[in-house]
Amino acid sequence: MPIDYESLTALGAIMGSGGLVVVDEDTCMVDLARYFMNFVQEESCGKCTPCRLGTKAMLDTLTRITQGRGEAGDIEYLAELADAVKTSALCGLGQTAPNPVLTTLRYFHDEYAEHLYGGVCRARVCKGLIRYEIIPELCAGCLVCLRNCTMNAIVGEKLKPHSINYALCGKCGVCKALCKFDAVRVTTGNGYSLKQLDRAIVQ
Amino acid sequence: MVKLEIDNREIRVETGTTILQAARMNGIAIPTLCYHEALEPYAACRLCVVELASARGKLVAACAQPCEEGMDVLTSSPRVQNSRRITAELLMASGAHLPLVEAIAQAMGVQWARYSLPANDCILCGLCVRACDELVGARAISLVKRGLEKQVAAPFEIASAACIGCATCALICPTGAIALADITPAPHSAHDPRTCRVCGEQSLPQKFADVEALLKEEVQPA
Ligand code: SF4
Ligand code: FES
Repeated sequence: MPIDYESLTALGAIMGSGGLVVVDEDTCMVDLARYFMNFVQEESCGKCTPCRLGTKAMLDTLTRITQGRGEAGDIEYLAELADAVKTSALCGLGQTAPNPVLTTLRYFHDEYAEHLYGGVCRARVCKGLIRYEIIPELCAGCLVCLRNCTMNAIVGEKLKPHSINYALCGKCGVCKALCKFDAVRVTTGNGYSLKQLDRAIVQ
Repeated sequence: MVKLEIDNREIRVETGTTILQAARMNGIAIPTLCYHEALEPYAACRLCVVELASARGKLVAACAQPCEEGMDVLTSSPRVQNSRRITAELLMASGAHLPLVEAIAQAMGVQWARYSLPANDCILCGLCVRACDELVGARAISLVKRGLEKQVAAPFEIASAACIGCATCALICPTGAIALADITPAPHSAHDPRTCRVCGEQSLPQKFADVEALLKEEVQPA
């Protein structure tokens, strides 16, 4: 893809700092949008209504989705807000503020839908939608994770497979980072999901 | 003179006229919130947006945008209405309890807000601050902080010495967010003042009102 004004505009990006960001599959696109929205929301001067309130409304909606507390209609609301803020804000900050939301919605719509309706964060980033698990077959019972767990959430004995107390786990990932046996994995899709809820209501 | 079209009507106005002025002169209604005839345009509420069909459908604030030759302005296209709807809904987030915001939302067809924030009487239209500066010339209040924390305040949030107590800000505020309070310190004196039995106004203490006695005192010091 050529890097010039026209091609970037067609993609929904802008020429300038932060206009193009390279990420891999370990980045959650919803969380990325939340991150940028947090930035612009803090930068907003607050003079015009759409930017002052619209960026905050987008941020709060995105935050809810990344926490696994998304609601039906969130994607549509985000799209409406993003379009309104982009077209009606007073200055360039507000007019470009919704770009991360607009482009992630355009190219990674599935990821939003997965968060909302499947309770899944495929990049395994959104804490509300993931869980750390110790694979008993791989765990050597070395106690390293148990000793270093920031929340004292790991239970077990020496040389016996450990397990995680989910009531205490803060999902910081220290256990996974320290495990020499690759016995800690992150799973997703086992939390709250709108689809499950819908099904529960239907049944 | 410039010639333009507003809602497909050909209109001629003096150079420098804003779209809002031109529309109103021709009986075309455009909702406004932060605009006041006596003040400079502020272009902050974004309720008065109109679509420039002549500029790829760009939305501009009618209150601040001067008319230009050949402009093609749409004041209630779907784009415009969408934008106003969201703006009204956002205003409701912290201002749903205000009759003014309620009326605006109703006019835009917004029944409830999908988002809410702690209630706030001030909608940051800036009318008070601009009136204090442009009309009164006192500049006793200003908009401080930024983003969601933006608010109207006197410098350093202490009673402003520049305030002449004219109450213009309270009168111009469309939501009644500014309350008046008399914080003038009560006069104190070692002598009891006399009180008018009709109006209750207090004046010169008896001791000083009695001029003859006072003069005597001065002539023959005790
Ligand atoms: S106090 Fe009233 S006039 Fe001043 S900015 Fe707030 S709403 Fe507008
Ligand atoms: S009236 Fe034009 S932006 Fe507020």
